[in-house]
Amino acid sequence: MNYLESLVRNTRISIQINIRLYPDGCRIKLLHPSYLIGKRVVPKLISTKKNKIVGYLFIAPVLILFTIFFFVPIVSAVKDSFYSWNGISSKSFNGLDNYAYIFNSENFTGSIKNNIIMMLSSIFIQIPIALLIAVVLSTQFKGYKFFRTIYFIPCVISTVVIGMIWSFVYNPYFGILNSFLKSVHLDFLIMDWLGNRKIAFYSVIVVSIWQWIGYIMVILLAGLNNISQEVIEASTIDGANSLKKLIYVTIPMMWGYIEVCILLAITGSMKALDLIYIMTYGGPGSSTEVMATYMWKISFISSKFGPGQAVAVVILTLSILLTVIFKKITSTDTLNESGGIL
Amino acid sequence: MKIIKSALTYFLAIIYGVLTLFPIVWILISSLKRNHEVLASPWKLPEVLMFENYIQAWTTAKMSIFFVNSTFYTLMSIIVSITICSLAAYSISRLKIKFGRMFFLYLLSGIMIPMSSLIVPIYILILRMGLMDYRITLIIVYVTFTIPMTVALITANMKGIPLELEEAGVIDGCGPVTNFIRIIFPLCKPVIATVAILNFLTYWNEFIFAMMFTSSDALRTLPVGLANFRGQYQTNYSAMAAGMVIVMIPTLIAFIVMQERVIKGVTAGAVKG
Repeated sequence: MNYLESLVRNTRISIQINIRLYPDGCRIKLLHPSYLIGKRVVPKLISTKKNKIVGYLFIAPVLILFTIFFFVPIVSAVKDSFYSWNGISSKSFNGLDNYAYIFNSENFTGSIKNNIIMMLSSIFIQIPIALLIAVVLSTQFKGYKFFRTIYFIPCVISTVVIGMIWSFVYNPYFGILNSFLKSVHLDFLIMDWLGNRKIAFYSVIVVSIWQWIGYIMVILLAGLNNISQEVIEASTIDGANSLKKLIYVTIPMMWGYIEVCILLAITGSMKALDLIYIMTYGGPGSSTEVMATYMWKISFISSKFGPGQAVAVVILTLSILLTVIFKKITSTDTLNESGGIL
Repeated sequence: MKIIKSALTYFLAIIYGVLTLFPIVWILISSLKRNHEVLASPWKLPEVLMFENYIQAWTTAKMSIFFVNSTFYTLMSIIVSITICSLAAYSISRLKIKFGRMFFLYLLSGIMIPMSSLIVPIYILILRMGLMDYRITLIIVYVTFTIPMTVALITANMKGIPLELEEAGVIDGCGPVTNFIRIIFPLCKPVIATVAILNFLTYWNEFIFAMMFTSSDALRTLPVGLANFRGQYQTNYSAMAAGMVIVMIPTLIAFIVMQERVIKGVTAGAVKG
């Protein structure tokens, strides 16, 4: 039964007149008896058969695309990681050989180590710096929005461009870093930043930290602005100094936001590929290899798709595992209950 | 004490501001120098303004073609992703379909998965489907990878729209489709704009997929073209710098014009994701 028909039947009034009297329609619904007894009419209205069909039609394109180009690749990666395939000949099942192959490769174990270094540096260097900047900005001094805009700029530039800019900065012949060091008489620090096996990876990490600090900072700033001023004032009255306020009041109160940043750091370090691809391509040697670049090379250069898929599965498992572990650890944390948003 | 504090604040803010902007501004200046100036005197301002570098990057390095390609891919992907994702968000938030909540969680799970783990499997999939080297491939892949975040943001926004508005629509004789077109979609314009600018930045800057799925210059995007340019003209640093500026200018302008939206979107995305 159509809503309008039921309206006529139940209220025994002329809709025509009512619509003319109350063109916005909102008075009409007041006349509906179900409103008088406090029942909502709308859910009923919306779950008609026609609406359901439309509902499935509306969600279908997204579900189909997501399933074919997101879900199916994940499943096929898991399956293909047990097969050997070079891209041309037919596939053959070889059990866990692919995993044995990658874990016996020193390049791969080195790349896991690099991924973890990247993740830790992001958590313990990037987030604290971003927090410091966010705290400074949260005082809302004159012109703070201008600085916020500037800090965010590297995040909107393509990683390809960022990588090339920093390759210029690090360049041993005309890079500004070395010539700056020379002009301030720190000649002993002058080196080939991306060509030195021991330094190269840290040079890349600096760029990755530099690029995404603005992003983390914006999230933390939202967290800082969310803290009620009364609590801060109360702690001031209790005689806490700025540092104590930060550690005992501010950070616990915005822990939910920090948690989000740490989760971003975990998944972000797992997807590091384009920056390293542009800056060092894993070299010199394999000193800046991460899992993603290793996967790229072994699949597309050596055409060993089996081990490549195994690496994909390892990346996937590791990032989900780390996320779950991190959430487990923090969910028992009492800090989380005090003001976390998650 | 207060003066010291505010002086310290500005000092820190400016120091980090310089650290952030300096490399970018340096590239901007280098792009206007002669090549030998870039090499010999990195700290000096250009002797003459060499706009020829830009012309060289634009024509010789085929940046013009890549620019058109990037614009095409980006615009098409934005249109498609906003259309299908807002339809899905409407279905999830309003139409009460069976498994609606489950579908939503299924889509959201994509946020947790790092894209790099999908590079090889998706390459093989596209290869088998025979979709290599088609413009539509890149659009499909781009749209798919932004589905989780886009749906999450639009759905959260739609849930906040009061149901009464739709009731009024129903009373005026609107079905679900008209309700969506006439009432819900117009009300979602702010979040649509946010999602559009965030997706614009993602699509324009994307490199890995664009590199995998295009093999001729006619199909390539700006970041891929720039990376190839470096391979081909290894010592023409000033033209390379000009190329970098060409790639980053559109996103910089878009960000500066719509910065409030970008920042709101990033925050909302992080909180909901």
